[in-house]
Amino acid sequence: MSEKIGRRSFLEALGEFGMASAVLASFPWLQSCKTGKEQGITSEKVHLGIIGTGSRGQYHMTNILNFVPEGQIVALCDIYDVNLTAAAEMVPGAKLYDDYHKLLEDKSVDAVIVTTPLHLHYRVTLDAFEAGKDVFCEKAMAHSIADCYDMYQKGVRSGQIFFIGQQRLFDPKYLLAMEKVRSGEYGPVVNVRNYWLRNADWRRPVPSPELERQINWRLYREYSHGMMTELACHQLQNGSWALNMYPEKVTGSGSIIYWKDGREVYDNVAVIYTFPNGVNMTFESVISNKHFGMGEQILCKEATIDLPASRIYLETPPVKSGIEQMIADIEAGVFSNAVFAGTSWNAETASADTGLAIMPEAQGDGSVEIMQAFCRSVITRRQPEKILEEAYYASAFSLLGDEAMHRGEILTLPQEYRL
Amino acid sequence: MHTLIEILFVHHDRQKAEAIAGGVEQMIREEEEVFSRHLPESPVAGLNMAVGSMKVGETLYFALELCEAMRKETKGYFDIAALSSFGERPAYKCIPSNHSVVRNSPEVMLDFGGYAKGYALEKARQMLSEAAENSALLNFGNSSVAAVGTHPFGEHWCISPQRNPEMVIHLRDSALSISGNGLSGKSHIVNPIDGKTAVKNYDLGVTGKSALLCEILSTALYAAPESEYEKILASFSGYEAVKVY
Repeated sequence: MSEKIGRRSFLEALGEFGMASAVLASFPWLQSCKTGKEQGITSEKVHLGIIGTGSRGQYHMTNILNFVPEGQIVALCDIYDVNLTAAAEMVPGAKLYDDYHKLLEDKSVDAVIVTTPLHLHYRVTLDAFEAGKDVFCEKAMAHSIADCYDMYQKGVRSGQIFFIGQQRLFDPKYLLAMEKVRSGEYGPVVNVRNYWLRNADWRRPVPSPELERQINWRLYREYSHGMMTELACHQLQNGSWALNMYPEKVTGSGSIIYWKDGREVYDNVAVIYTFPNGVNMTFESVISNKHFGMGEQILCKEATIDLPASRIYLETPPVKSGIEQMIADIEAGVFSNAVFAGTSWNAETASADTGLAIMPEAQGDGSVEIMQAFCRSVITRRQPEKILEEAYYASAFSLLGDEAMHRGEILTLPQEYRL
Repeated sequence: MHTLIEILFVHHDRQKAEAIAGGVEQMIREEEEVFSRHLPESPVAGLNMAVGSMKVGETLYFALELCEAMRKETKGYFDIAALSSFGERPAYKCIPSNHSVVRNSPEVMLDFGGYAKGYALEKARQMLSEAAENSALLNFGNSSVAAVGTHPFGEHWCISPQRNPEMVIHLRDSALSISGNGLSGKSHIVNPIDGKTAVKNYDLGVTGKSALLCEILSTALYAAPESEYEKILASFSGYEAVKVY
């Protein structure tokens, strides 16, 4: 089990489920997952610069060093020397910068990975395009819908390869589940539920008070929109994927109920997105209770798909064999009665099972696959179809949800921001 | 037989246990090849298509004779020709001299579904008994159950109907057959006397020594009006019927 899906050819793994061609047809950005050999790539490597070497930057670095042979980290940049030093220890020999403009001037850098605080994504990404660099930028795209839209348009016009780190787009278990949902196998989608529950203050240690806003940027609206841009942005794609359409309107409510420590972003939110066909998608988040953890569920008429657990629960599960139960009891030394006698069993009703695993072998969350795909796209100079559109709308709707809560209104995405 | 078949028995030797189970499975497949009217090459399919008389093998000939005897003993309510258009009974004649059979008309369709299940279950029970298994339970499609000996930890096997899980039926070297509409409410048992689908607000279980007779009786009783129950059961000593609500 050491060679699990996600650590070898992703499409090969999907092919084992007979899904490769179907998944490629539905999710065209996966063409970029083809192996180098499949795409005629030789031994070329992408020289990468990391802008922002905090936890997320180091996470991507670890993946690149271990699982992305097409990528080579050659430069690192951060204004916070603690993070820069830690990152430098991971890649001895990489050039170090404390000004991203200098890194962008570095001709040895082909592409940059932008893992800065949210409010810097827009400026850094646009400067990278100006410098002729390909860009992998973490989600959410930007701090405002207008900036997201501008990033999208400028990214397209630049001709550079441009990815946003929506790793679920490359998570095998999500892809297979979505393919099943979109095939109609489980009837129409009637609801989409997303939630993310934690029980912690969401703070990071601050060595000196003047660094509070720099380090805990997630807590301040000048830099972040809190749960919506840091958490909801991951999950709002689920509804668009499952329904193959984008939300029509959004409303919600948020407040600070527990962590009243000077933060400006909400510590609990409940948002409802409504699609053109009337189906609702919810996003809820609380950081003062973690019992139910993270959940993403597609509710169909005939089944519920639990995306993170990669399981399907049928609405009408077949009755468990009474004999099977009796065998389990005998093995446990129990004298029991079996409840199964009845009128004739119908073979047609026993073709499925409850809690069916979709892809039990799947490992990881798509972060490795998306980085592999980015590097391969840089090498082949082929921007995957739809990937940017999906990312744009995920960011735009997370920001729109935040705005709806703050204004206390039902909002629609303005026409000028629709692609 | 297009149904679920489960065998539960306790054996200290896994290989022997698997061989016993394999033997039962093989027997069931062979019976199906004889009795299924859905297999084009089966004798029953051939008989349903035959023009004039048709010579049949010993197993099928025995079944045809027994089924006709059971039809008479159940006052006409167990009838393997029940799916045929309402008409003359008996619907076929057995010719002992050459083990051949002739249907009364081309419209007669013989269906051994209930018989074959009970017959195979009875043979499976005998096979397990002969293999010196004194603790086995066989389930054919949930509607037909046969017990060999007792539960490993009890004096009998305890079986509860899906329709009424509170009810407990004790089996010990005996069988249970349940007929009815089940929880789905869909009826598939035809009253051969009037040709109408039998509909009742309960399922009907029959217990007794032979799995085959249990099967025959539960089918006949469900098809028959309640006023006929006692008359039908009077011919079958040791068999009891129970209504399951």
